[in-house]
Amino acid sequence: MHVLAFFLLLTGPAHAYLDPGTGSILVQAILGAVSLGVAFFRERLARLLSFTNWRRGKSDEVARTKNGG
Amino acid sequence: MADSRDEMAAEPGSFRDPRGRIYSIGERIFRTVTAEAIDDVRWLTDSGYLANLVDQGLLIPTHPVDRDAVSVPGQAAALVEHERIPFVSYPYEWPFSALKAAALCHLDLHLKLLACDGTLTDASAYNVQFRGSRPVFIDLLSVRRYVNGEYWLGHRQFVEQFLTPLLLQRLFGIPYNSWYRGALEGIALQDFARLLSFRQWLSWRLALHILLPARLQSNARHAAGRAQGLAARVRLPKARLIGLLTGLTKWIEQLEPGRGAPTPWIRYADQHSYGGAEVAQKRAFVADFMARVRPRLVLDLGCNTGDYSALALQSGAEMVIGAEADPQTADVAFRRAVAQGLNFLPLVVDAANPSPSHGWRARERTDFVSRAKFDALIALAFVHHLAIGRNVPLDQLLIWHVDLAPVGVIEFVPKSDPTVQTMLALREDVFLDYSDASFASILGRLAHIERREVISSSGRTLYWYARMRGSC
Repeated sequence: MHVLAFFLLLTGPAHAYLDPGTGSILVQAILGAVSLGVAFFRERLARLLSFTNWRRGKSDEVARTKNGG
Repeated sequence: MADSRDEMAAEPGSFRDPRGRIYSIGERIFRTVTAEAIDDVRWLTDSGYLANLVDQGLLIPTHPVDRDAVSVPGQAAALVEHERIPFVSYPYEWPFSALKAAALCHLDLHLKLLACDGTLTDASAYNVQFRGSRPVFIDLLSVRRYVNGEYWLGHRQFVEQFLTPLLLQRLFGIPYNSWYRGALEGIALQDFARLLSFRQWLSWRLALHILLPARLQSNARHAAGRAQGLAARVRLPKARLIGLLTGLTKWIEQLEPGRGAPTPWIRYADQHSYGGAEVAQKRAFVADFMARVRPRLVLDLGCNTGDYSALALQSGAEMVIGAEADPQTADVAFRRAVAQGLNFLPLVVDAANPSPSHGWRARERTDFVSRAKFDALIALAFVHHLAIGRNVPLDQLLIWHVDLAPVGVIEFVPKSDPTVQTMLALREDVFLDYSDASFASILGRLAHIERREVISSSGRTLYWYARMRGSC
């Protein structure tokens, strides 16, 4: 009951006449969490890739400088 | 029975959402809008989204009405008028393809609303009605603005009122109509989850929409603390909500009635026991009746796959409601109505056990017979199924028929007909008064017999009746 009350508060009292079903809301919370996790992972991956690209870019630059010099 | 206190009371089925009520005044339908809901209604109308969705056939035509022009009780901040639905039907009466069409209409509307930052507060199948065989959403107050990251509150309701009934037919070959009618709110997640085999647990769609919510629901008390923490931090991204709705749309689009042996009624039109010339004579009689009466709303009792409903529409009737006890046959009739664009709504209704008035105060959902005034009735090759098949006495049967509409065509099928012979083959003939003479005598006491015509060599007879003034 606490969970249900919590979710009804979460979604606002104006349209709280419908009992959304705790199980159904929990599944959506899991989906939301998965989305959050995926977004977090993507962001980390992007950072990692940009970091390695930066390193590679830097080493290429160094190599070019050496060759050119 | 009319209650004097209810003369100006709201429609008995419109009590759940406190943000407004429906009032039926004469032929017009009004909806009150409270101060809590007025902003959402103004947003929908002022933005032009309402007109757009009405044009697409997704929302019932609606226009604002001056609050003082119509007298309705209560404190309404605004008043709107809706187009009247010619015949209100309920999901437990819909054949498979109708419930499927209603589900897809609901999802389509929800997706289109999300595209313009709107959403639906619930997912009741009762909020969809049919104009002919075309579904339309009727509950204006279910539409409101979307709040970023919010959950789909109607998910469980959608699953129980649309998805589990469709899957009961699809996966198990069991028509949902009786179960739905008894439960009114659809087929409960947890009940349906118990039917699924281990192999079906492996379907990710069943897991996501049915098994997981059912399991989490039953364990909710134990998971309360963890769930609170999770939901406090996690919102449902809009893209994920759209993904849920799109996934359901794709799934439901490909659902077909599936298992279940075809019933004899589907092939009935091709296998009836009289010849081509006799059929032509019967069709000419019905066509002539429709052309002369030109009824607005016709009830086709025992409509089968809709041959005579289609004929009625071609011959002058405006709309036909079909009542067919066999769900598979009603489904064939519905698909025919869609394919041919007919203003015809076949419903799963057993005349010996028609939908009752039930729900809250036994008035929330109205019984089939008193839901509309039919202008004409056709009951062709039907009365013997009630009289012989269900033991309904002939006088009761005819009183009920004549009470349904002021004019109509009823076909009497005598005992000499092969169909009745088959029905009596394995049982004692206790139907001593079942004869053309007693049929004509009883009908003659209830109505004028405008025309009588024998249409088959076995003695099938068509009666065109016109109810006497004051009778019934």
